[in-house]
Amino acid sequence: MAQLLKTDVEGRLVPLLSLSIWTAALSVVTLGFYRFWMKTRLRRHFWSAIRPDRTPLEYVGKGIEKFTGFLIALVILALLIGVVALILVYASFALFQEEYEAYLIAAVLAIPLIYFASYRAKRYVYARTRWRGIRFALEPAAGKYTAYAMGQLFLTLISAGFFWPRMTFKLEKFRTDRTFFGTQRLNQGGRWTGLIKPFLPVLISFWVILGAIGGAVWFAAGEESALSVWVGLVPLLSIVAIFGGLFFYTRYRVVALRYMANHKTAGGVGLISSASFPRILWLNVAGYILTNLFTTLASLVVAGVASGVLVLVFPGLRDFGLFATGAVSDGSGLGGEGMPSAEVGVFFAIFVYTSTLLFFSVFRQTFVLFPVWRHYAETLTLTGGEHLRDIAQRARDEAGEAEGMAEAFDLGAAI
Amino acid sequence: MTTSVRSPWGPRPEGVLCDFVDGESAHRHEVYVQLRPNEAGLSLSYTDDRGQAQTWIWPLAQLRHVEGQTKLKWGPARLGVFTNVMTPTARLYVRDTDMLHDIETRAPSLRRRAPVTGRGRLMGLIAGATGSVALIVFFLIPLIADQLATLLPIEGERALGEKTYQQVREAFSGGFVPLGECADEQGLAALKQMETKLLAASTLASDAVQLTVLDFDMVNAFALPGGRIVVMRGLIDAAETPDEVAAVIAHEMGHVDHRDPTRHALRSVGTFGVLSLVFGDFAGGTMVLMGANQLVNAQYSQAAESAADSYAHEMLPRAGISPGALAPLFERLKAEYGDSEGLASHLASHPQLGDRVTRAQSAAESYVDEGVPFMSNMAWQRLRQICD
Repeated sequence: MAQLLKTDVEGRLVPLLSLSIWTAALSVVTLGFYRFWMKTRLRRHFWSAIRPDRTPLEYVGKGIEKFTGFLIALVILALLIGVVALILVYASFALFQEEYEAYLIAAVLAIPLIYFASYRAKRYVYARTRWRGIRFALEPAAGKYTAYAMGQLFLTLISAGFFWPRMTFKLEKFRTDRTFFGTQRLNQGGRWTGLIKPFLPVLISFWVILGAIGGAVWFAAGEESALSVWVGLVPLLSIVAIFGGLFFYTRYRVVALRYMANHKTAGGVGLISSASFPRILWLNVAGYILTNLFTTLASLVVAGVASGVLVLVFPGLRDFGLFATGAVSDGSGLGGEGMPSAEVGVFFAIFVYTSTLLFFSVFRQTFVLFPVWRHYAETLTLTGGEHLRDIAQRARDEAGEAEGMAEAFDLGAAI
Repeated sequence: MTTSVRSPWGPRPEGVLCDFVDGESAHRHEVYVQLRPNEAGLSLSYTDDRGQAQTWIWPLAQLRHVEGQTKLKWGPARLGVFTNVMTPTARLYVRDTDMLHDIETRAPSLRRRAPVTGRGRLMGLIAGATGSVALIVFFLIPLIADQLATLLPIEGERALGEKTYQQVREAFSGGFVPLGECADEQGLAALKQMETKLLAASTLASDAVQLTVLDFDMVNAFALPGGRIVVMRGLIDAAETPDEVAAVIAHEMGHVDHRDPTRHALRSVGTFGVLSLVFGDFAGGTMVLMGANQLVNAQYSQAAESAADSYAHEMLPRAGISPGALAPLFERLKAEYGDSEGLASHLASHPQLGDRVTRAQSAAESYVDEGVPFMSNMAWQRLRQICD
């Protein structure tokens, strides 16, 4: 008898909202150093909301180990980023009188590091995730993964994007086949060709954009003015292709995730995902509208309160009323009689800027990330539940560097 | 859900039905939980994976909440997740309200955490990381930047200067329109005249410096890589004679001659890369703001400032200006803002201000005024209206 085990999600928006507000505020107050503990708390919250077969997932990571991992990575990366950035900018200005080249080379250098860091970060997160007391794990193979990913990326590049789904599949398979739940190794089944169909519209949009750019360059170089009607259509065509491409790419992401999930097994245990693209699209659109709305409102309130404080302290700002914060940060309310100095202006500009950023990330977490996360979890079913009794505990993986490397590249900034 | 091996005809164990995992396998068991007050323990009776009836006793003192799972909900009710310090991977999931209440009131140290280990290692790491970042920022990056600054060709320097110039204009505008360049035609002609005269008196090439006035209320002037010297309108307003402005510019020309701005710009590229790494991405924009601020209020080393001063003292007499011309401006600023309150002007807030005034005055002692004004009164008036 094959048991089907449903996944429940038990999480409300209000506790999440208050948790993300106070942790984000602490991060700002501590100049960003609380961010390691913030991530820990948020992950605990997200993990324990998800309950496959009524048992909550557990995140047992600690803020302090993230902090130490960061310190270790800091020494290497500070050297790399400081010195390499300096030399690149120098070389770029010396040779090209521009700095774009430096950014380009830096980006190319960063690509393998990003893959390396993201694998390590995943290994750490898996090592700290438990369900029913049993540990997950990802085998250490960050270097090999990086080399493998570079190969896949090269193939994708020279095929003008045709092998993108192959890369999606192969990288996921690389990671899945090295993932354990307790003693049970996971396996990624299926074939990469199963992802071609959902990717085709993305590929066509991409090639249309490439063609449009290529055509524009071609016509700009030649003198065939007879075809100017075609040239006029190029921008329109590009815009349609860009929006179409984004739409189909979002769909591809959801479909690919579903396909990969449906072909994953852990011994006799399997997964069924019925995640829906229209639902994900709706959650994103509605979520971002709410996020922007709330961010604007919250920022206005904060600016209003700050204006009140400013007017009380600096009588010269009385004429600005509620707009005192704006006047101080854009410089029109500075330096006059009873007005604050330039330093206070810079301070307020920074304050307004960081608080807006903070609100945005908090509301995005609550209104976009959590609902999307919830949808993916709720549409996930485990099959073959009776085989779970064959899965035994595994030893703890220290994963000592935690996600220090990933920290530098802003990977998974929120959770 | 769970297929129990327990015989349906057998006696039903006493206690409250809960969920339990033993930390050994991923199989979840139905467990009957009883609180035994006299033994001060929780008894858990369940059938294990081999069909054997098992009874675990968890002493109340060993009972712990699972960290981060103290406030879980199950619909409107609560879900308690407990473990035992001796078997930290085992979990007991309690949904029964009375049982939950009993456990939470009787177990003495539910919230006690595992002792923190490796505090010494952590302190060592913090010290090591701080030390090496300091070494990189204060030693390695300046060292490399100084080397590279002398190697950078002039075209590269100008491009770098142009970039930083735009950054400064944007950062100090506050709005979307960059800070305006003052461009009154007659004022520009007066500025050009000053530029040509000062260049002629200096050791620099005739195209090594470009003067620009920005419409901003700050008593300040600064040099950028490639030889652009920016004078803020506030400085021209605060000056009483053209000689005072010229003396400030001569000092900045000293920086240009020694390539201080280029060194500084290259250093800040490396330094800000490292700093944004330390403080995380949340501070990205803050770093940009502070970076621009840093460019304007560039605090060069003591030695660089003295060298620029000597340069100015040497060239000013050749332009017909007393090396002491700077002193009255400094003293007025000091009187107006005080020594520490000189927010509007880094010239006035410079720590060694007294020293510099003294040195300027002693350099002026040997100067003989030939009575030829540096700039005609009309040109000076036009310069003062360059931003109108």
